[in-house]
Amino acid sequence: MECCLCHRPLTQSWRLAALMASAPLVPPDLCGECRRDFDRIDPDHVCTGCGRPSHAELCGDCQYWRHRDGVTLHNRAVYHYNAALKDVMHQYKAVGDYRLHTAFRADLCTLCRGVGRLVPLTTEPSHYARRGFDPVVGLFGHLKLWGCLTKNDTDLPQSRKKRGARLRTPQSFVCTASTAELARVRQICLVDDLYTTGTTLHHAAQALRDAGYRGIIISRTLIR
Amino acid sequence: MDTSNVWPALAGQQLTAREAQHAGVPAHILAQILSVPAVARGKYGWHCARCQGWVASNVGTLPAQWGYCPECIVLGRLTSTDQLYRFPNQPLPPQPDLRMSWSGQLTAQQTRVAGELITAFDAGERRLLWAVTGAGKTEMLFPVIEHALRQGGRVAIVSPRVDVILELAPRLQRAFTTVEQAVRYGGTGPASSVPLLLATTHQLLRYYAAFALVVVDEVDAFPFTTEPMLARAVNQAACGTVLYLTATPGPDLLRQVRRHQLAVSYLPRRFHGAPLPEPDVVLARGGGLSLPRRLLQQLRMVMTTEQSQVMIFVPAIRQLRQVQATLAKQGIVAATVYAGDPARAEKVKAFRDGHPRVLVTTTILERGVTIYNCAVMVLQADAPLFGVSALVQMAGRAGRDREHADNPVWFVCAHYTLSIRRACRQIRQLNARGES
Repeated sequence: MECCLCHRPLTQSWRLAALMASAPLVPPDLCGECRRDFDRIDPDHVCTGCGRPSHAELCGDCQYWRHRDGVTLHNRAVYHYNAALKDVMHQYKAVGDYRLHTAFRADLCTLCRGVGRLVPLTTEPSHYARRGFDPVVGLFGHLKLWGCLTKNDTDLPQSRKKRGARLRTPQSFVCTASTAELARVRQICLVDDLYTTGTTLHHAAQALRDAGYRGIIISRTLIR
Repeated sequence: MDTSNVWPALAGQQLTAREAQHAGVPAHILAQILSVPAVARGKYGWHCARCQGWVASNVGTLPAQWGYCPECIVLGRLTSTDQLYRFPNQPLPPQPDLRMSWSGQLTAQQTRVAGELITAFDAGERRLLWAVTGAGKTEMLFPVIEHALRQGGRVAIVSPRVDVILELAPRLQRAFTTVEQAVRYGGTGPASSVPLLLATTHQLLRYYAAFALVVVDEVDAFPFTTEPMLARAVNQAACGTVLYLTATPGPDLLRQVRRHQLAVSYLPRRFHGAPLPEPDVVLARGGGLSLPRRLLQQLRMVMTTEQSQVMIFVPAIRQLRQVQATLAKQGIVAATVYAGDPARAEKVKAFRDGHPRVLVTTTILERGVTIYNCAVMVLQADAPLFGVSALVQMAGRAGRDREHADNPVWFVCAHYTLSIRRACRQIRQLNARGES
């Protein structure tokens, strides 16, 4: 076993309780040294809307969305975006190191337990053609996903834009599920790797509503 | 059409289309270059043409059903949709009147070894140069480099450690002022092919049958020992002699020597002719991290009577502060340094200049650092991290100067381990070989 980030050998000391329990022992994918660099969000002190670490009830970003569209998303994330995670995401998405897709399996399992049907925010076709994989489906691939959203090509990826330009991005999601299918689902949980301004997630939610979905939409991301 | 002389600026390199474009190769030229699929299906899964590695299908297949090579991904990802362009290597015109601008003198032993290296080059064989720490390896290389360049061969001097390359570069620059040189390491980007290349071993992955002489310095250093890809990169980039240089050959090289697959030249004496300082093994509770009184006494004594500086090695970064604090309590000012230290270069330079007198460090300073009057103390020498070669290298920091050839070396440990025993034996054997 080696850490899938630093590729040093992994040693894991199990707790006695874990060894005696009936649940299967899942070895971690990341070593303690690497995990220490990540900034885990304390779930008790977050914005009720987007899930960022905050002491206010609703953070400035979410107030903006409520003001603009009249809706806020109920989002929760595992990690706060810091330099270490930025490096990981660069290695995974820009360099294309697909080995990293298992790095956060355990975290995402816990994050997405009992939240409804998981709908991944898929990548656009041109990005898929360049990378050879879909980063979101890769990260959440061990969970049961419902791929009912497709994304059309955009002129520039979100990561290359400034904040203002991100917020102005036009809708590029299309829902492929039929109204009848959507009507059977009570709660949809959108899953994505990153929540930065929230534009992508809001667009995805809007696409579902436009397709006639009337249930609850929440979202889960790895990073806020 | 003859394609052997296309784009000589990149002769001997193997690049992806993007790298070639970045280096300024127009598309119609690129079309004439021999290309191979970068990653292709083979007997054991996917085979990478750049690092010659195999990756199992279940690991190296992307959801789009492409293969990719995770091993050499640090140089940019290669997939089965990419092509690798191999620029033909044409020999340079011979320069019989090329002279090095180094005018120093080699000792009798160094001259003997330098002669052996030239013979090895003419025979095109692989050879290990086992020279003790502080033997003057670099200077011994100059004659064979000159010899190879005269015949129009390209020469690569590589090392797994970028520090070693950065230290060698100015010395070679001074020794061969008339030869065009390039220094390449992570982040320097593509460079045109020059007669004399200094690079980290990873960079050799971008070359294919390009060098008449490849010199691998510090061949036993991390990551060369743990990544088989780098050994393959060296073999792939060479089309002639490969010289391995080290003071502490690992088990792999020694096995090849025993089986007569690898010739070897010994240089068991330092340039000043004195034997290597033999380590004292000191048993202390906890590997001496708390610096018991008798260690401190000895430390004080060498610092006052010999006026020497002291390097204290510890196995882990978190122990640096602990040792520094213990020393401070005793009134000894010490600096600490580790690989990720932002002020690393400045601290090492300050220590070279003699301030402070004591440096607590991890293994990053185990090689390539020369302090003229320096005692060495290895704490927790029984830690599994310290292998034989690490211990010999650390001990080799002492006694680098003729005047202070007998600087003390202490291996402080809680248990006597096989590595410690082997390291001490290796030093004794080298000293005995030097006597004869």
